[in-house]
Amino acid sequence: MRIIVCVKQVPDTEARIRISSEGNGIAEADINWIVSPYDELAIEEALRLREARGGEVVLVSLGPERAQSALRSGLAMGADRAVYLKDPLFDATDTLGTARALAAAIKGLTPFDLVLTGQQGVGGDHSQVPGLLAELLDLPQVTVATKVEIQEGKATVEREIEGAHESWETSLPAVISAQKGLNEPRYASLKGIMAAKKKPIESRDAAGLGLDAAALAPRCRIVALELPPARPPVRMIEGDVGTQAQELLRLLHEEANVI
Amino acid sequence: MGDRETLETDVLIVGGGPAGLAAAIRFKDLLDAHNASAATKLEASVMVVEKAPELGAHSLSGAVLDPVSLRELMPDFEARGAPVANPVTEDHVYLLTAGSKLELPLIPPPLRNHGNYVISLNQLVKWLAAQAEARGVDLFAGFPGTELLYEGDRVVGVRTGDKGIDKHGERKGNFEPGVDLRAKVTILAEGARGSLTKQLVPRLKLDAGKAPQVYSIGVKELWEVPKGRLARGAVIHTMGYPLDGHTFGGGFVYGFGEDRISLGLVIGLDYRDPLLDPHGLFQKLKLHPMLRGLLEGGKLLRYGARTISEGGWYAIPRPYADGVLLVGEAGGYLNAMRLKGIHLALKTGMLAAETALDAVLHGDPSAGRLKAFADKVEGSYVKSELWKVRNFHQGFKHGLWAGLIHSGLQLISGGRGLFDPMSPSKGYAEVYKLADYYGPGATRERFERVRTDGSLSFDRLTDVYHSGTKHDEDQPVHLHVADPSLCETRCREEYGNPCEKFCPAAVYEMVPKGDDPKALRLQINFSNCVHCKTCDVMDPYQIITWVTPEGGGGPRYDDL
Amino acid sequence: MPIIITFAETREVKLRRASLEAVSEARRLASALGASVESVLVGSGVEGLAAELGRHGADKVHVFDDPALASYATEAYARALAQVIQKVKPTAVLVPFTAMGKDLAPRVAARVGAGLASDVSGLSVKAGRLEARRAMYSGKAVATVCWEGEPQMATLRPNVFPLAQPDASRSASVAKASVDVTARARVTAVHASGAGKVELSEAQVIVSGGRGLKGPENFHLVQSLAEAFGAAVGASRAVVDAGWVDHQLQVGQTGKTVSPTLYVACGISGAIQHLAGMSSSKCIVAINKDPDAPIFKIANYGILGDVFEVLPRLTDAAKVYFGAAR
Repeated sequence: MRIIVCVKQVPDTEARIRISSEGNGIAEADINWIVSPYDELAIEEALRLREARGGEVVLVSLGPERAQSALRSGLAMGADRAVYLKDPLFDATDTLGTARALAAAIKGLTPFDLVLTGQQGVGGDHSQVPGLLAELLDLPQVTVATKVEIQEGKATVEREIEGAHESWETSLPAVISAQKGLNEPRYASLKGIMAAKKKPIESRDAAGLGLDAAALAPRCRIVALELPPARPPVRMIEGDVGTQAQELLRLLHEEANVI
Repeated sequence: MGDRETLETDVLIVGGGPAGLAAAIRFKDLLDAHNASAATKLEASVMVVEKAPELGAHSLSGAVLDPVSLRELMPDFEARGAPVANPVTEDHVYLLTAGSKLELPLIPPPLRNHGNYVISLNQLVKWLAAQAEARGVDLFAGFPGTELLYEGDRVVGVRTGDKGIDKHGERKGNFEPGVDLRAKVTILAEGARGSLTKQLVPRLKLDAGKAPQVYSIGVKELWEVPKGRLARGAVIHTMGYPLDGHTFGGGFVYGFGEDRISLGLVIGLDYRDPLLDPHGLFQKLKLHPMLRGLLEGGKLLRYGARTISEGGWYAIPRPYADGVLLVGEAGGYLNAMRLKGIHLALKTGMLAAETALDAVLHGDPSAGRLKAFADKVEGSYVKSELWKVRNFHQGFKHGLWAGLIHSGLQLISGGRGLFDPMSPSKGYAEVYKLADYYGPGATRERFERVRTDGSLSFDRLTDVYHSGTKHDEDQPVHLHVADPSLCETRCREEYGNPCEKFCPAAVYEMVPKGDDPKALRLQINFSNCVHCKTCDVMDPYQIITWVTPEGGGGPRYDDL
Repeated sequence: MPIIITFAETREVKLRRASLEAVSEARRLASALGASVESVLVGSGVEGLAAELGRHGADKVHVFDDPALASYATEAYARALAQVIQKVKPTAVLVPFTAMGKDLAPRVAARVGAGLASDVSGLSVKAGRLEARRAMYSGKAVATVCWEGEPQMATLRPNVFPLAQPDASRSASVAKASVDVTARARVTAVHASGAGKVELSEAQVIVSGGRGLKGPENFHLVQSLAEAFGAAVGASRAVVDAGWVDHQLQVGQTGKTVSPTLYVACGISGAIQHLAGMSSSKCIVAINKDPDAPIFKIANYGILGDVFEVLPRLTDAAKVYFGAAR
């Protein structure tokens, strides 16, 4: 079985975000970079499937130089090898461009049985790449999976959505995105970390993937990035308890538009 | 599943701080030099295990670095990008009272800092780690050493901690057993009150005939302030306020960069007041007009705390045994008068590396051969420097003024002073009972937490937040209290539960128990822990043992 | 005339509120752009819902009504929406950011080569083009994004865009359409999960309790309020440490970081560790009897009162309110 896992490096979820001087991204100095937590679930699931059925787990990641440490982390968990996509054209692209690059790299890894990825990258929080990839690879998709079982040529997947629990069945190969609850990712063992240093990471650039500037031109871009606006001083709600309750609901509906 | 793996290495270093990394770097450099001229080339591996999530994350200090050892380790350290951008430009010592300050007109030569650098130990360690990695040292962050491995009384390696155990002690789905790392030479570089060192020393009676080790706690904050508030490289030390005449310690304020100030308070962990609150005293220090003037309008960036080995030369245990060496503050190598230990950590690390290479080359890590480490220390500036201040901390047993006099006498007599050796401090045993300090009938209700304003002074939880400390909540509590019922009864009456006060991270809390409005029980908020070890040192009944939590947890001391 | 397309999601043959929010927003933007609004409705026995879309601003509804489309299947639904997009060539496409929308929109975006902005919480018109605001980095930053080319695709955060006043005089024309319903991935079973079992870090509304509840026996007050709001339940570190609730509910630095649309903090003082976990919530309500509690410094609305009095009253009022609206 060949399982491909798409991995993204993101800022630590505890990182304090500062805006870059250009005003359209984050200041990257002093940030602790990690593998997106949902991608770790995907890596873990891939490793379990390989343990059950044999085969190999190949990681793919797109990003600047530092992204290679995310691949090393995945290799330390036990993945077999990695493909690293780097090109100045990738730096400015959007989710669709990223998916195009990943899809091109994944096509180069045919035959494969499954593409796993996290349901969202906790930097951009777009939650798009799984669906974009599936369409570009012309594969079925099941997103936000909390359980995956593989049978011959198909998979049974469970998902939790908005008060319901669904079971799906899909043919393979397919794209499946991982949701919290899918598994508990393993720690990289000491031996795993040492072994990872020797595992191959193959680099590819845009030209090597058959992609040019037109294919990677962003269709959606960030014009400005800001910290959330400072909150206005609290509005204390007066009156007796009954009045306060009614007034709060009214304000939440009419003023804050949150219910 | 569950079977422990064994890995072999030639040299195993526990602790990725300055001592451990200097040992690793030096070993590789000496090995390369040996191989350049040797007939048969030796391959030898060096492994460093460190509990922090990344090297440097648990390292903090004032700090003012004497570059003597760094220069020996790497003469071109500046060219290689060592983070030493702030040479000391000014040196001041003040005696503070609540509202005023008096500058000492003269600073004794050993305390002068010309030629030294104001640094961040965290930054230095990160740089040392990169240097070590470039030399092929295997660095493993997130792997604590939890147990020494012995064959008889010979140390043959270290076991790392298990991962994936839940709060009830059961294995979780991602359980990963610790690994047995077997090494020819194990170097313990855990810093003050190291947990493996604490196991080793009594077992092999390495402290026979030595004074007991004594500690201080250092509490530190890093601030961003308007440019020009404090000259870059300015070094200020304070005595007096907010400490009373019987409490050893003092403050430090360093100009770290254009717009940063590193400041903190060091307090001897042999104070008398059972309700002493080191964090609270540090907040009080910041309200002094001199400090307020420096910090006003600034922003708190980071917070941290750590114990410091204060016992001096007489408290250093025998630093070698079959298969093992002790370096840095784990051995007790710190100059309490100069308040400097980093250069001694680096130097003892380097000497340990020399010793270890010799042992590996001869296939003989016995105590007989490793004794060479002690001899090298004896013949180096580590001994000559520490010998001169061997009675420093002990001189303060009877208060600040007596201490200053003793210190002066020691200075002019090469360390001998009036009594040599001076009777050692009893550390935790110096703390008075509530009734003796506050009068008969005094209860824990005497304690009043220092009020903080949230802009210049902060409550402990806010400071803890700024330490970046984090632990997986679903793991066993790493602070082992042998008998918590003691806390509810005897300690409450006799000492008023000092753990609630001396912990700078609000780990220990006496909370209401059940329906009885007066009953209290101990709650341990272990995930606040900043790994300072104060509790292990200071609890009056010595029933608290700090053990390493799951690897990768703990603070993130960026730039501290 | 430019066209804005919306996707109308249904559940149990009723339009989901988020679908009405999308068409309302489309109408609002359309007025500024001089555009018309067309909705895409996919399902089985759903044709009758077109009228409600019309009342909320749709001019035309493309209906794909087929028993084989009764359950959501990504490829079939994506094919339908893409078919309309390719035929109509809209300037913008708005899809609700529900579980279905999250699954559907990217597939369609790749199919038609559109830029897609996810989970937007604000849309505006600038020189005939759209601009959107969306949260990034777990709510710690807000991005303003714009598109190149057409269609400009966006998924809309639920409960944020106001519903238009339904206009009984408006009606939408209906265009029946059909599509190949093949799908290689299909639902095989659906079970309703426990009421209010929303994953905390994904919840849009959270009601959280702290030490002010005094004891574990009172935590049910928080749970009842959460249930009335259809919200997830959260807790502060203090009550988790004290053993009142499971660690899974902990909001804060070492628990979960959440950025819901609405966060109600009951009896929570607002220690910095807790704030770190919820400060990017869009709207924060604090109920506490201590006027100095730090939580009031970041709350939008505050009730200074005793949680034991306020929570039951608020729960009752909410039951009435939501009983009517849901």
